[in-house]
Amino acid sequence: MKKILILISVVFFTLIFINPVNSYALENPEGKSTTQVTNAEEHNIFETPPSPYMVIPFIILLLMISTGPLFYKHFWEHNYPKVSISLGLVTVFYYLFIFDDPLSLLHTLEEYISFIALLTSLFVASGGILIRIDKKSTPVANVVLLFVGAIISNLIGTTGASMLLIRPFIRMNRNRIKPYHIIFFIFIVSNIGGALTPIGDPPLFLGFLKGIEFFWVIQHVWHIWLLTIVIVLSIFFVIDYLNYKKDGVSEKDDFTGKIQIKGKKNFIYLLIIIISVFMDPAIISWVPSLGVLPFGIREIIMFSVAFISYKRADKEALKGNEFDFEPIKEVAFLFVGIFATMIPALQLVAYETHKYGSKLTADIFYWGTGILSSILDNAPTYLNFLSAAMGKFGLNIENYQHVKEFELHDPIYLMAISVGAVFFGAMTYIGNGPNFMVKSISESSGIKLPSFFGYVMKYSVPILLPVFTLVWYLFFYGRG
Amino acid sequence: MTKIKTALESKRNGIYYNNRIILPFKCEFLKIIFENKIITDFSSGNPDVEIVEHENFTDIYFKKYKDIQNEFSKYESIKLIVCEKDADIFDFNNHIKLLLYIENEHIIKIELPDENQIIID
Repeated sequence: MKKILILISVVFFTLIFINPVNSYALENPEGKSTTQVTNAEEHNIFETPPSPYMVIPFIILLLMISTGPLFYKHFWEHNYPKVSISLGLVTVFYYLFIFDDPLSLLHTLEEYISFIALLTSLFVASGGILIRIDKKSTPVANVVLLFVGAIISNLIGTTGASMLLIRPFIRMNRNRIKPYHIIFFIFIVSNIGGALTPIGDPPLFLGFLKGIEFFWVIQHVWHIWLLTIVIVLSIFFVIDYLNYKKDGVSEKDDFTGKIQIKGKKNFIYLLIIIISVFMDPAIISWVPSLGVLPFGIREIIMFSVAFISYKRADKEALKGNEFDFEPIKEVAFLFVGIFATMIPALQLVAYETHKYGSKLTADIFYWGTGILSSILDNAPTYLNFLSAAMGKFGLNIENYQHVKEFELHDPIYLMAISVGAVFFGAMTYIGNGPNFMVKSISESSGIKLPSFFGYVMKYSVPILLPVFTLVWYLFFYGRG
Repeated sequence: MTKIKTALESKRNGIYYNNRIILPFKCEFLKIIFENKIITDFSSGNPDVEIVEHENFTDIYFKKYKDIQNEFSKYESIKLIVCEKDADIFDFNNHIKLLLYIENEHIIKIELPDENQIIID
């Protein structure tokens, strides 16, 4: 099985990489990234779009990702790598031998490697840190921890922050823990919190890789983020306060108030990863380009840090965190398929919205991105709507310069898409990667959580939907 | 009859073969946490596990898995909440939390959780 998967992966990447397209990069005279150089040779998708049938693999994959863990878990757990790679290969063959557009594949490969390098390195480095908080579980202590988690998620990603804080959160509340504790953790730390930087949530990082400036998000959405966090935390405080009063305090009173951390050296690794995000020739001119290779210095640093931090990790911390590579392996395999099958979808969306762009308002982008992000993965949803918003102005998301040009237009569209993709990821267990991870960690600690529909009907709809409607009314209603 | 306490004090290991775990003691089962699945139904014909008691040991069969070794990393464990056969099961102080680590050569290492590991009763 493993050999077959490795073989398929090698074929997948070889087909993309050993291709005449790389000669463009070799001829690159100014040391620019391959992304910038190859743009000049791209298909004009506004004249010749890909076949609409090529969206089918993308739809199949997203539907299987959404339904597999719920309705045919056993099959899905054992076969998702084969499903993802097979569907991805359909698109790769189409772009190489029928549509004759290998450049789009090369761009996508570069983005995939950057994406997976960041997620892997953050996952591994944060997995080697074990935090123990010896504090009394009070509503105020919980609110403080969740707020700190919301901030941290912008520095080490929602995945890293969830991994780092879910166990201390459970441990602190172990004597009175209820499902709502975990669900608010998912709302705040695993989703909404990470809306301020491209490191925060995968959709924003994909936007950054496409060319959105690193600090664009925090400059434009910080006020929406703050308001939403304050409202959701206030609701949590009220519920937790009532629960605290009803259940009483834990029997132990001799809390030291100390925070102990095992694996502190991994914070240095996390810092290196964050700094390395900027190690791109397109951002810092003196960073060397690696020419024909579909990755750069940044990705080499990230993978090296992941390897070193795991090898040198505190074993007690790994044991306390029950460290396992399975979650990141799942992301790596699924996103190979998502990145590949997404290419025609993105191009078709841009093509269609270029024709009907004037009818698309910020309301549509906010609710469209939001609703789809809650039932599909929010990263590809973000890119599809970004592609649509750019198509409105006749711009192509696959073109780095076009993305830069798009930033100069009315920011309301990108704000609506960014907020919609990140916030609405909290609406279901499948909206964002860390949601399932937090659910899994909590259940493996013995906490019974609501079903998929229980989560939506008891928590998301009554709590998040009114908050997100308020956000829409205050910031996006009737604009754009 | 071998008690849990005796097995822990003498640091006895369990063993496993494919989906069968053999524990070196007898006990009352309250909860088994296998990955993220919380099992509390131990009635006959339940879909998840079958428990067979012998004179000095206990078998647990995980019915949905072919080989449990494939399901756990070296830092993960199967978690049990159990009670001694002759103890008062209604007293929560008698509930014992155990971690089962799957090692090579069919060995199951049995440990009490330390302060870093969480098992919610």
